[in-house]
Amino acid sequence: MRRMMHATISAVLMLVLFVAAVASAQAYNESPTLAAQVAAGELPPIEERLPLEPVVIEPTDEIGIYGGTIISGHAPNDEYLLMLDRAAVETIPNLAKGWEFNEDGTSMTLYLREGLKWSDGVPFTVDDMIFWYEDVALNQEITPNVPQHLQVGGELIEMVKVDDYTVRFDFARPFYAFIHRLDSSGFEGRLAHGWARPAHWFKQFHIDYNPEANELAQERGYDYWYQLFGLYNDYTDITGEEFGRPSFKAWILQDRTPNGNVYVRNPYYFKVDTEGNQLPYIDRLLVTLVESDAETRLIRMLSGEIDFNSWGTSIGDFPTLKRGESAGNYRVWIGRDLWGSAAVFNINQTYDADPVVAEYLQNRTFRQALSLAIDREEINEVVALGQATPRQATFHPDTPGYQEEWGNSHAQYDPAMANQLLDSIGLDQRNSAGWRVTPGGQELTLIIPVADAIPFWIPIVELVRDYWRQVGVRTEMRAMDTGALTQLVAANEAQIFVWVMDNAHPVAAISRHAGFMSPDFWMGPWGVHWATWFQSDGREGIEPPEDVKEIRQLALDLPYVSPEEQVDYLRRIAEFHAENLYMLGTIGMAGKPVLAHVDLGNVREDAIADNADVGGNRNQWMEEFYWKSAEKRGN
Amino acid sequence: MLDYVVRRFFILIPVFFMISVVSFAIMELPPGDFLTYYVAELRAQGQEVSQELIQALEIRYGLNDPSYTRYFKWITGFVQGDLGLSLRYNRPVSDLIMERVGFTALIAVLTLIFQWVVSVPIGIYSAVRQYSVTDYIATIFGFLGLAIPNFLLALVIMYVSYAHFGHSISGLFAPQFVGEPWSVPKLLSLASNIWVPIVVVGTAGTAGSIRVLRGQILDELGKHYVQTARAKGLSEFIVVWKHMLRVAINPVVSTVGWILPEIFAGDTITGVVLGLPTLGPLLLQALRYQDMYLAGSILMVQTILVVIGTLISDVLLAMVDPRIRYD
Repeated sequence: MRRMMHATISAVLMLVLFVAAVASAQAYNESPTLAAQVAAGELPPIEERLPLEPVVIEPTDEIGIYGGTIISGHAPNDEYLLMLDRAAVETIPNLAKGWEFNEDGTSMTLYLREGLKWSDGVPFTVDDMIFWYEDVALNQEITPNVPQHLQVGGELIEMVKVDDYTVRFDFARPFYAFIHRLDSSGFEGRLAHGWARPAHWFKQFHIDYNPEANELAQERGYDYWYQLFGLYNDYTDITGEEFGRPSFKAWILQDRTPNGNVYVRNPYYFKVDTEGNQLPYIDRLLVTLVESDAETRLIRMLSGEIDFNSWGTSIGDFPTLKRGESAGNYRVWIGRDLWGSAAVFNINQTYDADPVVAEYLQNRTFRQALSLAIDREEINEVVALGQATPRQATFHPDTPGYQEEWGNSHAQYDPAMANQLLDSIGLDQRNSAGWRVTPGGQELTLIIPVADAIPFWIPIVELVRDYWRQVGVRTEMRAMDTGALTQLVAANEAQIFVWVMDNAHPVAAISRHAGFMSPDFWMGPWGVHWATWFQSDGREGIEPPEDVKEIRQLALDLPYVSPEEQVDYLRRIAEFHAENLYMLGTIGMAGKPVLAHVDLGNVREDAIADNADVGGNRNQWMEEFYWKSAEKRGN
Repeated sequence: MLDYVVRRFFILIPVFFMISVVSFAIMELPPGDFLTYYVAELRAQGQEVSQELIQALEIRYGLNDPSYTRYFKWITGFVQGDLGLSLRYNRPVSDLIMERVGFTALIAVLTLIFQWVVSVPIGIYSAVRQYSVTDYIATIFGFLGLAIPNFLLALVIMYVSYAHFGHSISGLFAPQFVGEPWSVPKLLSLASNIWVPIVVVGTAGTAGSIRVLRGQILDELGKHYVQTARAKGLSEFIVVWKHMLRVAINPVVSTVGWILPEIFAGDTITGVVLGLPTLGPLLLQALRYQDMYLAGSILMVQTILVVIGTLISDVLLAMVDPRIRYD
């Protein structure tokens, strides 16, 4: 983004200005279909539809040509106040044109783009943000509890309207990572899509603005107004938004059928290319893959039926997809992935059902031995075609201050050393079957429940089971349903819990309190009762040792401290894990196949493939896609 | 007769009640609830699920209420025609069913026609020409059809279609027709895809019907009325089609009521594999995610159709067969 100028006024005062390359409004062009609608008087002219300063995108390869339809594997990307740049490292302006922190980081002013409009042509102003904040996020019927991401250090962020296009956020303590709550670098489930709602449209469903909202909801088959409101308010990136809701997306939902969803270009989209052509280039987007069977998805991709997809693919499918390239008229490559580990063996420190097993799970030498016994290179070859990085469970290498030792700690394959370590902790006796027994004569058996939510979990666990058996530790794998597995873990009944390690990328890790590296993330996979203790303020669960409490405090403070301190905090957290090995990593940054029609232009192969840590597929800027051949543009 | 139908009808009411309790109980059996699965699904994709969203949804859908309260709420709504809300889609269950029931019924009816058109002539032929080469071929075909799981056949057809014709036959029509108004090319595309589920599901049923018909006709072959008919010099065609078939087809007709639920929900696994917009895959998803009102309502409608279908069969049989008594 060379057209962007970062003006750092001081370490704590930052103003990002977006300089539009196209200053004169006469230079804007639009799709012929929209031009026809303008000529027919159905739409206002392009100058009135674009904001005063549109976002200018420098196309990846070249300026595109309007027209055509793409059949996509996923819904169009959402647009947020801020976003991540192409490298997914820096936060850049989007719906908002810039921001400014005060001197001590306790307040941030955000500047919206004047003239930016919702997809129904109504201007977007600070009032839409205030409506969302006061009447949606803080409305007890829509949102019974105050959302965590609206709080800083337990206190509500204050949102103050300065004027129609300027809003100020006040924090109880310095909060430089706040920009990551606005760039929406992660999906927030159904609740937190953006920091604004089209107030003019949503008010019809809101009881405070429409006394008949309950009757309206009942007509539509709901019991209460907030259920119908919720239909439009919350959605996941999987199912996409409901028909009728104005948005900022490049394509808006036109039709929703059980066969797929149809999106058409948003005439008010706020981005242009460097020659002033309003984006997107492509007229329509069809989404047909959602919620289909994995094999069916694969065969549809192979037959060339899908023009672009980076969602729901698995690296194991890469050879198959590669073989089908010429027949299917597409190209496929392995897109970047940010997960710190594709499968992490979380060793539950508070497991207590079998005291003998629990004692060993809590023994650091035992965990070191288990880690050394894993042949990560082989896992990489077998499961990820050698495309991933064998490593310990730790932050992503892009993390500021990253040290190789974090990823290398006990990550080498050394079964001799593993045997030696196991012998040294009283497991030197073996029974007739060759399994190690405890000094009490009990055969040591580890049980690993595993789900199939991610296709490579079961193959990785099978390999690891065999590695551990080779050093004499009897290990059983139990495949089960994802929901049942998470229940088992939440009940503190799992010894070891296999899951992915997301939130390892710095953008996500800093704003999400270090993710899985913190003891109280989600269910606390490596210390379930410790997490319960933290989450219940000490009323339930088991009190964790001091060093775990310390790590949790660092993780809690991580988003609020200065960038220099963040580097130090991240280092301390990573070193704690490199030493303790509560999480055993396998292979990280495994990649995902991404597929695009050969004729589709401006598709970046170095974009991050479907990764929630940077907002799903948002790193691939689909609005700049275009069809290179006239034939494709014509349909 | 009317008395019999009315009596049978009143017996249905406690049956429906028991079915509703059992369907609801089955949905409650697995540990956890919808939110457990919803959260796990989102987490597995690396999506964040905040505690407040979980609480919002618990309250919005009354998931914290005891089971009997939820059952009562669901069943009172159900009898008034309100099938409840799907938790996963946050949409009324009736909307979700309505947008899929058309395609489901279309496929099911076409499958049924296919099944009968194929099975009746083959069944008769292989009975009349028992132990002929054709009979053996039909028998082999029948057993294969019964033995091959539908989803496997669907996958094989899809693979062959892709590998040899470069054409994917999943879905009901090519993706470019999604959301387009009906047109000749869209109908052609539908026609080029819809035969797959019809053949796949129909094959299993066809095989069964062939066996039943063949057995029935073989039973009839030696009977006196057949000999009489032949002795009277009637042509073999008339003997078979006019006299024997009317008796032999009885078991096929008496199971006619069972097709009602099939028309409603379609074949689940085939639907999933072929990516069909039918109710089966929706039911499967609902069961997997404990989307209880969606799953419960589909199951309930299906069982009601089974019961009604059985009633229809019984009434038909009672009308056709004078040996059946009405008590």
